Amino acid sequence: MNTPANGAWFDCLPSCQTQVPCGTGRHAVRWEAGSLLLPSHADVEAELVLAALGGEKARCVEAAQAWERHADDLSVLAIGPRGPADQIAVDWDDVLAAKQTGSTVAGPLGGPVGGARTKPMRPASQPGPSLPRGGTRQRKVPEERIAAQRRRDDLLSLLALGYGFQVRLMGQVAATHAARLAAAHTARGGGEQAGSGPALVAAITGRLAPVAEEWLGIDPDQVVVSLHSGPGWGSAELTGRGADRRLRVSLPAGWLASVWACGLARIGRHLIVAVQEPGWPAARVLGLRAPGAEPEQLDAHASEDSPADAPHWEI
Amino acid sequence: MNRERAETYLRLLAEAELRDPTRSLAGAQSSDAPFVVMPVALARAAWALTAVGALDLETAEDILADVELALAARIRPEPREGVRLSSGGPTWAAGLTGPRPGPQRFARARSLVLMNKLMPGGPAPGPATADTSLAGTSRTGASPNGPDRYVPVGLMILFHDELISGELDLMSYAHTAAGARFTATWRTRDPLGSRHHGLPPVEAISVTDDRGQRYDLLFATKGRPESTCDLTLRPDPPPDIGWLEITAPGEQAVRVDLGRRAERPEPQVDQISLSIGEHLLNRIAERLLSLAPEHRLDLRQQLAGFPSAPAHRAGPAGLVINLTAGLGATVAALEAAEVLSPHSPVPARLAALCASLRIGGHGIAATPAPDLPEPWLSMLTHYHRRKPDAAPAGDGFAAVAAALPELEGIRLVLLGLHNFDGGTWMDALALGRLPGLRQGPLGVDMAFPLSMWVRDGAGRWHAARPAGWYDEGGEAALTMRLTPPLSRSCARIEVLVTGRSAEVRATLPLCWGYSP
Repeated sequence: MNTPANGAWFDCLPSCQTQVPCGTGRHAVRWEAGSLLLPSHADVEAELVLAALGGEKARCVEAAQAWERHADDLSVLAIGPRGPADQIAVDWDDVLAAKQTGSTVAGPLGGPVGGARTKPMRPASQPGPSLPRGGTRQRKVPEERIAAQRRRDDLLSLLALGYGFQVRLMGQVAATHAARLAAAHTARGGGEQAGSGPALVAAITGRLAPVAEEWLGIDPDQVVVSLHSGPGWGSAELTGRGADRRLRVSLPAGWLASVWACGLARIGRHLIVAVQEPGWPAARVLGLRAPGAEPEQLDAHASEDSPADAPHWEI
Repeated sequence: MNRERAETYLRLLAEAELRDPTRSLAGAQSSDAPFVVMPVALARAAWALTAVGALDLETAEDILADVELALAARIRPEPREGVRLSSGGPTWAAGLTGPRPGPQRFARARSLVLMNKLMPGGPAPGPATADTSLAGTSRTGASPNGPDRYVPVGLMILFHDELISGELDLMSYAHTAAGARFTATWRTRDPLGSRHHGLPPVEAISVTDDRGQRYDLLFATKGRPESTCDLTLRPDPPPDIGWLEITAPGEQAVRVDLGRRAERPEPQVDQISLSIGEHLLNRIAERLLSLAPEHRLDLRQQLAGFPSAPAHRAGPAGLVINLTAGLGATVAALEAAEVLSPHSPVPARLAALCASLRIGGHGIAATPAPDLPEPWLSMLTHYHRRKPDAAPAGDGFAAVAAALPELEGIRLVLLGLHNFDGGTWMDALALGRLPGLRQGPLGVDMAFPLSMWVRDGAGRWHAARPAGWYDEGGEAALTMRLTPPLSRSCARIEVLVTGRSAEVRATLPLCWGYSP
């Protein structure tokens, strides 16, 4: 099963692969050029028909469906890793255990942990049904519980795919919302952000802060991010002293996809703020030596021993 | 109000908490214990933002649910050796291990994210202008043609038969669109004179008006404390009856003169301007002030031992810690949402209050204010000077019937005051834009938009906190508990009701009656 490619944010990313327990064996699941591939399942559509008739759905197929369902889910950014050192401790045993127990144990609002919501997290401005209240809500509890359980299982499956897939899915989500923000900005002629602004600001802050700590030695709590829209890469400045010191950075939402998800956030002494000419294993990027400095054009190349999951770049 | 900044603040706070997921490990090892605990600052900020209407419930729940899953996903359970946290170095080190979880790591029997339980019943109402005119006030949800007759009574109806004896203490008579009723306290005894928990025999009590019409009495507690009830007349009497004669088993008839007029206090109305953030912080302060005396606590002793003890430690001191933990994040969240000015004096007052009670760990950045509002000071003085073994206030009741001007869309009618079991309760009727009261976290309910204080004849202030609420479609029976209790020697009270846009002061005489 393929997911549609989403622009060229992923051009600096190599393909990656993992093994998923599926049926009685383990199957390869592959990400390549923005698409999730299931090489062990030649006819996914036919398998889905069989599953609809009562057969067991292959876990690889379930994972790919979950990928599609959450390709614009902002929760993926809230839950996923903040960097290579932020390891998520979820494996396929956890997925299986949660699935087996989830049907009997209720969590928030009748759903399991992490499943208070039954639908992907999208901006409040996006139309959609609101949570039912009162009696209607009581009648819908079983449906909500099932949906919440599926959502939790989805997210755990996506986390169990491993770091390489996690950052690629986050890149996909960020790119999708960046495109929507850009379209909204164009339509309005600038001005107010769309409803995804708070989630994207938090997502960038959570990932930029540890990078900035390595870059400048600044306390992550002193990093202040805003969303940049319009032409240019944004801005970065250092203000104040001591406890009032702040690194104020304005970046476009797409930075999460084209820079951070590709492992480009910091190369040597540079904070990378944009990709000018994407590519793998070589790319041209814009990097800041210091806050307030003019960005420099840098030719980056992936180091030879760079793992596909978390590419390492050098200048 | 800036909703986008409110949501951004909460999400950034979540990011900060996620930088050290080990802080969220639950210490409990019981089988249904949560694997992780929600960081208290995050929970408080989420509640505050939803309480003031800066963040909708669904978004807050979504954010907290994501945090919960993110925390659980970063901590691998240690299957064999119980708690063994990796220490030192970056907290994102691989293989963080936590306590062996209860039944499951990602599917627990207990939930952390129950914002709907933490939430008031409705959105925070906007400010409304005080209306000093008692006539013609709007009564949303209630019939505009209600008689609105309120009469102080102050009569004791004794009854006895072979099975039960006792008394009904009639505090007031009220006739509104919902019907006519007495608000009363009651007590029963068995033939041996022991206190009895049976209901008074209202079906055997006859009631007749000045026109010869007979009525039945319906007994209902309407969410009030056990000692209080409403006695509703059926059928509904005409609005202009002059008296009612009540005959209880084994006793002479007692005539209730309905020609007395309710106290029409000349209220003093002052315009004020409180932001909803300040209003919330004031309510938290009032709750804090009422907690210690309610539980007869010596906070100075209890808190000195564990000034930053975790909130899950049970007991009254735990309640206080739970109430004050995360206050700094609450203040910051309200400022971020632009519902609290950075120049507001209220956070500094709250810090001073915590300092006076020797409560640390609240996180309020403001320097404690040098002076406090008079009612707060009065409560603190009472708290610091009190004698722990002082005798509780004696039982008794006072006839009161006073309609206050409308404030924040609600008109309060005071219908009685009584002491019972060491506590003082004020019975009232709330008319108008009723908020659907529901107990908020830690007893702070923002759905009821009014703050209420009572000053006794000696100048001491008593906090009045909603303790019961019974909605009858446009009007609600409301019970408030006064802390500290009121002495029966108090002959006059001043009632101070504060909304966001105005405050009302009214002085009421009290005529106490008490049981033999």
